[in-house]
Amino acid sequence: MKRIFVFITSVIILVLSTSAVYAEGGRVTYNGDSREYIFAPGSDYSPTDLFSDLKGVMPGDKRSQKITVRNDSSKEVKTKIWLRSEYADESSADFLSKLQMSLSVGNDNGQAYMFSPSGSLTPDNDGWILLGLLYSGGEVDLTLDLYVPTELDNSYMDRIGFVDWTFKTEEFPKEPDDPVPPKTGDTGSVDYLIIAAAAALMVLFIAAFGVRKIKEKQ
Amino acid sequence: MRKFKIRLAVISVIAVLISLFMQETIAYYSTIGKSENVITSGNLKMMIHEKTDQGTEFPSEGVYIMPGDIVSKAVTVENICEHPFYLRVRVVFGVNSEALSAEDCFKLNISEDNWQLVDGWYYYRSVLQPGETSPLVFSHVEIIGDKVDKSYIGKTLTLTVDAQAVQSENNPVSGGETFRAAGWPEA
Repeated sequence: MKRIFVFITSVIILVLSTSAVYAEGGRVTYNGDSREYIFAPGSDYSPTDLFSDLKGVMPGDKRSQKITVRNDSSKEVKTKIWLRSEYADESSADFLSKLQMSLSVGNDNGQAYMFSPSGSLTPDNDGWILLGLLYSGGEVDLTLDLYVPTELDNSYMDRIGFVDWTFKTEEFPKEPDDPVPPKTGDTGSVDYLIIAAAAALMVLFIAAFGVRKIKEKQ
Repeated sequence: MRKFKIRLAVISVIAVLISLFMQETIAYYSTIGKSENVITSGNLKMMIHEKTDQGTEFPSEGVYIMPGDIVSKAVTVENICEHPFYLRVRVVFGVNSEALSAEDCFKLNISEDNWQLVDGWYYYRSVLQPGETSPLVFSHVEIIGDKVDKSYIGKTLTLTVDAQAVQSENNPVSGGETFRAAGWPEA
């Protein structure tokens, strides 16, 4: 009975701790295997909304939105990550251009060694900002600081502003000296490849053995 | 024939092996993904409640009055948004006759404990929190007999409650002097 109680308690703690992890701001996951981005948590306004903490802002508000970018590729690659920000439409531009926003790259999530920041977050001529180099298995925190000027008048009450963030990833082979992620027990599809190769070798061995047997019979 | 089949199988397995490892060494890719992010601004919303002493809604078509009557009309304001705000109200009188004035026809019992009169507006001395309803602005209206004489017979007197709110977040005031808050609209 005691064991059951302990088990239930553990499950509850696990569920609570999992919830706490996902309550922490936006998450951008680059899946290198399927070569796609996954955005979370989403909102009623957009399924790919990263700005969970920027709703219902009021004049004078100072808000911070944390966004964690993760390179979830199982391949041994490092990725250059670029970001471009654009207002989705004129109405959004009218509203959002009144707000003061600044983006910074943090290094306090414990995986700073897995990210080499570009140093400058200045957009190039096409509007792309090079965030830096993120190694497979690593993650980095971005912080978007928002200030809403007190001069914002009633015409900006109850407004909705859409801003598109486009992420671009370029993969490069990892060098021997490049950092490696902490071991998590999840090595992804590399394991499957090794198993498949071993199975294939075994088939090869059995086939070779079969040929030898046939030759002996002949 | 059997030998040929076995050789074919061996070659196939080798081909599969090569293709598996090729997957790890083919050219590197670039990927693009777009997230649509949303920033919304807040709002201030309130609801004015007008009730009788029976707890029912005050009739929108009005009531018949006689000089000296005391009409039950309890007025409160409710914060129905997600943000706290400062609140002010004023009462505007009217009559459907250019020859007559509605001023001084009514007497209201507005409590100075909760409401501070500044330039014709009664300012609620505290912050009205989300979901909270203000104390009574007034509970009844007295019709002044000396003022409402025979010339008002058949006329319609109106009493309109105006309410305005301004955000209290990032907008501090001291000593409950909410009339000093920034952002009150021009009267």
